[in-house]
Amino acid sequence: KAFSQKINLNERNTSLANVLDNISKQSGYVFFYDSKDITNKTVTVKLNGASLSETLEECLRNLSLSYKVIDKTIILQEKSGSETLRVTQVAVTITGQVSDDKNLPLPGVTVKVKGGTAVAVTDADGKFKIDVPGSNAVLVFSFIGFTTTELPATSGSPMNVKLVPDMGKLNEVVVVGYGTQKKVNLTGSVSSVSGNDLNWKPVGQVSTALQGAASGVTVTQSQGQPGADQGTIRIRGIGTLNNSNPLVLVDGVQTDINNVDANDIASVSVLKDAAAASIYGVRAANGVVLITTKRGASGKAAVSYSDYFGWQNPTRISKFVGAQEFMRLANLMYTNSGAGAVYSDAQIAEYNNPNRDLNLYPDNYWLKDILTGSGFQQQHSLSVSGGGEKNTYRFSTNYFNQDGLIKQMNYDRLTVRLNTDTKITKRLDFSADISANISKQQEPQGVAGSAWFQFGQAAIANPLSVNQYTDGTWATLRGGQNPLRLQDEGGLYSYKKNLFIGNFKLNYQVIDGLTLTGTASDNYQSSYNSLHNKAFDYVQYDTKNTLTVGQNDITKQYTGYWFQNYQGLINYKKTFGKHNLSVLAGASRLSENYDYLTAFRKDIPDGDLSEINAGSASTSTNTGTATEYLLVSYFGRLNYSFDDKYLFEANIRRDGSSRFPKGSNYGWFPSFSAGWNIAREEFMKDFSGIQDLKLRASWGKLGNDNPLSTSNAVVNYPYQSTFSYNNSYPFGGTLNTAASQTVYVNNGLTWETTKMADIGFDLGVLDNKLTFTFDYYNKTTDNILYALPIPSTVGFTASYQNAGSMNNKGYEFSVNYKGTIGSDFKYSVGANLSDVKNKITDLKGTDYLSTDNNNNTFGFITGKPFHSYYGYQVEGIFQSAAQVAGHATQTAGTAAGDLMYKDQNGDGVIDSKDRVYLGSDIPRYTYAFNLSASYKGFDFSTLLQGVGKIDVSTLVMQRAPTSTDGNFKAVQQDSWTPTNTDATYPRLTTSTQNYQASSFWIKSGAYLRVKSAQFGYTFKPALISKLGLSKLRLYVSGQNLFTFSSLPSDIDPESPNDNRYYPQVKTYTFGINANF
Amino acid sequence: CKKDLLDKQPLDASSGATYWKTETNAVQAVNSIYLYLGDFTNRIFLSCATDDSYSWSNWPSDIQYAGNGTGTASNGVFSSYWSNFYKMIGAANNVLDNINKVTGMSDEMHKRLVGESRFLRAYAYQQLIGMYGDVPLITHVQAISEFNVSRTPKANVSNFIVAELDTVANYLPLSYGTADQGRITRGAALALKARVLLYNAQYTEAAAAAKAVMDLNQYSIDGDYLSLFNGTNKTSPEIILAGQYIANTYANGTATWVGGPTVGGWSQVVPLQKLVDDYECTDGNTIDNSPLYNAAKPFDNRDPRLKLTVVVPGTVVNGNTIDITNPNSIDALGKNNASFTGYYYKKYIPTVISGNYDSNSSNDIVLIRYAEVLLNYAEAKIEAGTIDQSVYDAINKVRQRPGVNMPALTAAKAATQAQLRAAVRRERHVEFPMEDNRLFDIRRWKIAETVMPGNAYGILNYFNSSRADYGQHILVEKRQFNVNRDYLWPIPQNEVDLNKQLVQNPGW
Repeated sequence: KAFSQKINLNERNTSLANVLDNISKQSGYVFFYDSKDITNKTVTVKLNGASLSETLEECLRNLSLSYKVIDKTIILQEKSGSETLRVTQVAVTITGQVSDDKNLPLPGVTVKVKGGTAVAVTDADGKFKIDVPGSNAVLVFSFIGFTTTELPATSGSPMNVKLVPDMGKLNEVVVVGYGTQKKVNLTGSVSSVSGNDLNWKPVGQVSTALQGAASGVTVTQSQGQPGADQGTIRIRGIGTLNNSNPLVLVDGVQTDINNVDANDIASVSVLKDAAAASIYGVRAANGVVLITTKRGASGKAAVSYSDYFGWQNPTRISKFVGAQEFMRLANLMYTNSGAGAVYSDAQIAEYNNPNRDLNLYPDNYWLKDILTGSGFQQQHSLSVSGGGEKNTYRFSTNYFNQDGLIKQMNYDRLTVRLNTDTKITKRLDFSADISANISKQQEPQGVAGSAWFQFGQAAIANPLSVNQYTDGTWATLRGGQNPLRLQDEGGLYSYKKNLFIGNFKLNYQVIDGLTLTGTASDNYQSSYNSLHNKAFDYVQYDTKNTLTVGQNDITKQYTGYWFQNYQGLINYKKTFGKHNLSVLAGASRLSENYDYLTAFRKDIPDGDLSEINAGSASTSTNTGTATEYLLVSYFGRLNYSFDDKYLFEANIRRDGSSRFPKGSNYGWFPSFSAGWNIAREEFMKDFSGIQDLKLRASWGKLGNDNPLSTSNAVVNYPYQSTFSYNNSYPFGGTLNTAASQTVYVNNGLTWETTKMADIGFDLGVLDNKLTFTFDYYNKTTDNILYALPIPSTVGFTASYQNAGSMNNKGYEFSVNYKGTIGSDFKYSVGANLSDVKNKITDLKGTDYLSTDNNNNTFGFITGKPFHSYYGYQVEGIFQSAAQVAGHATQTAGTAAGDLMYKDQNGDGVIDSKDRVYLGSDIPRYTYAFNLSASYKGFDFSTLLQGVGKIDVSTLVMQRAPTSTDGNFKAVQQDSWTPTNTDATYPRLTTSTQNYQASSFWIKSGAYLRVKSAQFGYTFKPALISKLGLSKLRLYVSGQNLFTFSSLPSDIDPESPNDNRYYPQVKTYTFGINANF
Repeated sequence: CKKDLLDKQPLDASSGATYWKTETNAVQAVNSIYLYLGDFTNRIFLSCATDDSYSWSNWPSDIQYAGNGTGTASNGVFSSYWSNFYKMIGAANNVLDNINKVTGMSDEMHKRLVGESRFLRAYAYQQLIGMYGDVPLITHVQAISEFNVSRTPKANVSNFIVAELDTVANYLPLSYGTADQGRITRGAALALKARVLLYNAQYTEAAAAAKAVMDLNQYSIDGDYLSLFNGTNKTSPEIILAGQYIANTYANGTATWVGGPTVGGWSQVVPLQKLVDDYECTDGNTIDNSPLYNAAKPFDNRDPRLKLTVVVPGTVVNGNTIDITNPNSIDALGKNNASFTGYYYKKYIPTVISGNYDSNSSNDIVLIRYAEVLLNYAEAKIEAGTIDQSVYDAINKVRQRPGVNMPALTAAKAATQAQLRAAVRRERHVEFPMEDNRLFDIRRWKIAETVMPGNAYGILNYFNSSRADYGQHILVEKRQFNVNRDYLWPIPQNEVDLNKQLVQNPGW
């Protein structure tokens, strides 16, 4: 019998008492009455699905009675007015059981009466019991990861409630180190991102897709070369002087983040504070990124397919002048410097002649000329998942292909993944995940990296450099190979990478609450590079002499990488009344082994041949080496919570690393954290608008055993001082081995440790439609592993030492709102903001400034941010010789038109002592906005990402050349001359006095970028079902669409400050998603 | 006892703690000191810091700013020499601190290896004091507490070098077998000693040291001047010490730096008019005194070394005629990568430029040769005031090399100390372009303030009337020279910033 507001009555001459009793049963209202007179009256009534008020009115109509409702009491009155009957609402107890879509009981589901105060939580079997105020009560069932469901309460037999998973709320169950945790019970600082928030962006690398997705996570992408466009991930800034990359684990196993396909990602968790990360101990100092891949679900096989096609263009490209202007500016530069004009007026004037000889009077825009590639990219993705009761699977494959802005510069990748789950017995589960990633990056032959060669040559070549003579022969460029010719005819560099990952997991439930887990992960990665160079003959235009440039040679490089990780875990969970306890203990052994082998031959008779055997055996050389790394770890975790209100967690890890000498190779890494779910407190019942309010605090210690070399390679032997044999010197025309010990010895090396404290809160209001998260942290890194520079006079390269301390303080804030307008328009808005303030706190008394080849000067100064800009303060441009003479003495040759540097110490001389702090290139106020909306079949998503405060040096991008080996930018036409005295730029000269590190070149690099935007349409199922499709969606999408920045329009704020990098790209794509 | 699993050691290199065991260990460690000898840091560019040459681009060396006086202590050229010589010293000190741990080595071999190491360290100090003046004198591998050293007076370093060379001259052999060709010899030690004494104005001692080399009867003037530098005559009896190179596997980039477009080079070290002008006419007179000098044909009737050293219009290099007077030639003025002075060097262009030409020059970089010993001897005697026939003989051996055959210098021509001083200085100038002597010579003669500042000129433009400088010499650059500053290079800025004990040179 259903309690409901709809009442059915079919009574003929029944006493009112009986009728009221019937109504009572149906409505949940109990009538108390004291006047038999009234109840003895009889009623004839027939109603179907009437409301309580309709029912009462119908029943009382002929009895000269009326009713009114005062508070929760129904009062029956004689129409004459005296009170005769009092009716009161009372509670009814409802019981039931909640299960998920697979009929498994769901413990911990919150059951609430809509509009009321009663709350219950399902027990371990998913059962609940709740008192409701009456028959028309509605129950609200909510549980993280499932759609909140409202059902009318039914009494009598227990309710059977089934909750369906809510894909949009999956992120509320958060993956943490060695397990999962409900977001409400988290005490550490964790950002979680759903796979859906990543895989809609048309980017080739997962690291790039992470940009803007989570607070506290800064991703910078420095260039756009296919296959080399990975982003650099920084969690809570730069914590160390060396490797600041976070630890990335895919399904619990360490790997490169770009090895996983974005379409396979179910969720990403970013562990930001020490409490969340310290279970990973020595590897976690820079934060941890946990990626969980999608798995199969039992049921009918689900097939989905998606693909897209796109085109890339450079975002911004340097604006250079043409030949005629180049020659004028070059002559100005040389005459300003006291030399004669290099180009004659006749030569310059010849460019006015449209019929001039292009061989003698060329005018080329090399940076545009080299962009010969199509920039086409495509991706195809297919997944099949399903399974039965005991076995489930998900298979996926993805093909990605990207052609660059330059011919032959491309990237190709195939990924395959099979995730399987098997229930061997009721208590024993086994999962086997196998994945492969096969990629090939290719580029035309070059010098020191093809992109660097192509863009480097093109950015420096002046417009007077011929690319191809009118007879079709090629010219040399800057005395070397012609990059355009190499695109067309040159050898190829190819970088093949094969990665095979096997993850195997056995999970045994010994008794309820106690599980044993064993995992084994074996990865093998091989890379095989082939670097094929061809020599070319260049016919000299004047003499027709032939000059052979380059040589026919071939280098093959093989790298093998073996990664093995074995882990054992014991997990115990127990609930005593309101006490929840869970304990984890584990051990891990992780090893990495590399093998390297290279071979080289030259004198290949036919330049088109590209294999070693084709070269002359007498020219063959080979090199090879191997490295080993081992990490042995033991760890444990204790979680305790009381009534889900008071949460506590402690972690401890002990790591032993082969990168440190005996005696200092083991370290302890503890952490503690606590949380208070204020929203669950009694006193919060009055604030019904707040669904979630939690305070969190944590402290912990993390480690780092991962020093990086200056070329960003992992250093496996940082403390060993060795004699290496990789150099040789000729005597008597034959090479003799030279054993070099070039690194200064340091035997006392040990961990780098990071201590981090974090305090934060989570807030959810308006039925959790609006959520906020805030964290403040203070992170100090001590014993930083760094090769602190030592004086050159020592004669050795600096070795790693525990070099100093650094502090990062910052906060992170994110807010999200999900809403609907009407029933069809759904939208969500999100924003996040992070700030980090970095400061070197100790450098063992060796504060220093370091000037690089471009004259950029970086400070490593206690009290200032790491690697901050230093240089002269510019006071303006000298306007006259008298002004130069009256100013502190600058470099010899300083004249009107040069930059005026401030004499900071007032000693009358501008020298190194006058350099001051000019800014920092560590991004502050990193922010992002996410916006998505859907209306009927249409959907729209966009991500805006930016940096609020950052200083960049434009010295390399904006300075003029000091010789004709370089080109002038268009802006340099506004350089100082006696007739252009309010010029933006100083005068052009062959000397570098204006190109010293100075405030003149330090600019704000703040920017806001429309990183990604997508507009899609999903067809109505009715239209496509005939095609066998359950879903069909088409979309257009763009990446790096608009940029707002105060930098000059040809400088990309995300690119390094150098013209010679492959530029950032803007991508437009068209795609399709289909489910069968 | 079980091996510690975490004890992982490099698999391709020997541990420093257990290295010093065998003779091979010692020899290979000594070999590593030699890595810093030769054109290790574009040494060939040193000429551009003098009145001989001009460098137009700041890559791979920004020595242009050392030449024109607009440099700062942050310029890379100043730190690259500094740090390379100290690496050489560090490698030598490492050998000298440890070589006694090696047992079972013959006394002769021990002495030789010690001698090589100490010589190479002394050579590095000779270069350093010539470039920077006072420098830290470091004679063992420093402990961390010793890192912040101060500078030792130049004269003390000079004395140290001489004492070291005196000692090791006895340790080193006169010559080596073919397999060790290129190692340090007794002659090298004595010759370097003569140079250091001369540079330190200890003339009598310098003359004696030079005489000691001459008396070894080990060396002679070669009949083919150019062959010493083009890779065809590496074992010439004139060469006392050279940085060794071999094709393909241990080559340098001189052809690229020095050669012009026709050679496939970048013309980064090119001669200035001042060098060209210092070559005499074939009658033994300077151009302003010789009737043979014809301003319209300025390259005719000149000391043959001019055309062996400098490419003038029409000179053939490796079979290619270089003619900058044709304005359409890729070697002509104003063409990309062409010379800014209109001249190119021929000296140091290897005859074989095959394969990857920009890094495949296999000619040796000559560091000490017998001509220098002879001219050091002559100069030392002249300055000491002990002028005798041996002074003329020494100079004439150089001037009258077969293929050069300049008229002999006689007492009739130069009798006084001043006349001889002028003669020997000019002889050094025209004999040694692109070898490192000129930088040290103009400093110790205190003539840098005269020869360096002002306009630096290239060739006379008599061939391109469309240029504004038609009828004049090409004006290449205007150079500054600060007498109070530019006789020494600055200590590299990064060094002064790191080591507070290092006091910067005046004016920098």
